[in-house]
Amino acid sequence: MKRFIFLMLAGLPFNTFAHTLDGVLDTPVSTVNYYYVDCGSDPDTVSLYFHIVNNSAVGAPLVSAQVIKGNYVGNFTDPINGDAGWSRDQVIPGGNGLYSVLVDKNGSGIVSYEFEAHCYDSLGEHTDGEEILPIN
Amino acid sequence: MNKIVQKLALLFIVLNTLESAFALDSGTQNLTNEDGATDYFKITCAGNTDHLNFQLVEGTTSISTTGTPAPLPQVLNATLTKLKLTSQTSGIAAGTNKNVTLKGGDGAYTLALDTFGTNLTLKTAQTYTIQYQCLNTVGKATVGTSILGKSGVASISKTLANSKTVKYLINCAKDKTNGNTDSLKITVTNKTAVAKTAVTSAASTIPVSSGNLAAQVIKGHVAMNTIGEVLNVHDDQSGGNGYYSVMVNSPTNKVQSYHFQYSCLNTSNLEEKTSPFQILQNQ
Repeated sequence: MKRFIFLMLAGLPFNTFAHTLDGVLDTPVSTVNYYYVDCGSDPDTVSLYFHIVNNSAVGAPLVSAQVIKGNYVGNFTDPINGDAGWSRDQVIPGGNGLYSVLVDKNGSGIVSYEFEAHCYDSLGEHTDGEEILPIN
Repeated sequence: MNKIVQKLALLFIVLNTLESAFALDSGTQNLTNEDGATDYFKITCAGNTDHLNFQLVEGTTSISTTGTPAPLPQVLNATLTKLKLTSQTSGIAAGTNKNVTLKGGDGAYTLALDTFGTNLTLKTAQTYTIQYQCLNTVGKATVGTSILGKSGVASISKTLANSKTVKYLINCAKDKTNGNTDSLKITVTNKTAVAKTAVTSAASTIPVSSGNLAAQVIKGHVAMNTIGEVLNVHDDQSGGNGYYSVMVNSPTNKVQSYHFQYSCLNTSNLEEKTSPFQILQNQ
């Protein structure tokens, strides 16, 4: 409960126990929203499914996400703001553990976004946990 | 007396200014138009680093105004021979070391060092040390002698100019306890200072960005994004020393050439120990 209240007060996204997360990036280009997606081991996670959508109006900067696991990084950009389309999606075969997710943009301005992350086992079923943890 | 103090103070200020105006340059890197392509690098800072100064530059044009970029390192190559047996290692870059081993038994070995393939724009001679060890079949030391000094101990620092070769003789012999020599192992450490590129100060640099290229830098729990602006990445929790992760990607999936400049700085913006970057992913 304390964590929930803290995150609310801090203005950070707080739906940390879901498969999707809504967020807002502040104006400076340098701003990055940084998360961990924690994929559990019961059963063992084989891969993380990920994509992102930019919910801002046309003319706003493009929103990108980088997903990092070990020495692998994938970039995801929603090419058109404000429509129903998402970025490319990808299954990242990174196994159990923490996947780092950065969300950023290619210009100044406030933008809103939503990303979806699912930890899957070898049968394509969700694994345990699947927490999305705000880091900064 | 006052004049001397004033001159010393002025000299100190000038030296500080010069030192803080240096950074390492990645040299030209290329990003493909593959969807989601990202280049991934690791930069290591040591000493009393407080933060990493980082700038991404689109294209191949250097932002240097007072020096020539030095994307290629200075390198040493080592060749170990004994009769018709040869073993070699190459590209020992400044700030790194490599081993070379030759199974030649007891007797005289020749170690040749050269600087071929080095960046000829860098005129300073390279500095290195050599450590040798004669070993039996199970890795125990046998008797080794050389002008380089004691076996198993790094030699004193030596220098070698561009396009030059130097040879050393090392003799391996039977040890009373560990028996005959099986192989000779050499470690060459290139102690040459990593080439620095003079750059304009952050305040006077005008970033030029099309929005087609972006970079992210992570240190601990801190992450920052740039499309050309200078970043100073500072992590209160884990401090300035250690690994910085750098990612470069294109939001528009364009083929892009770029380079970046980086420097590990202390709280006074003076350069600390900045190691050459490592490539973790090249797309």
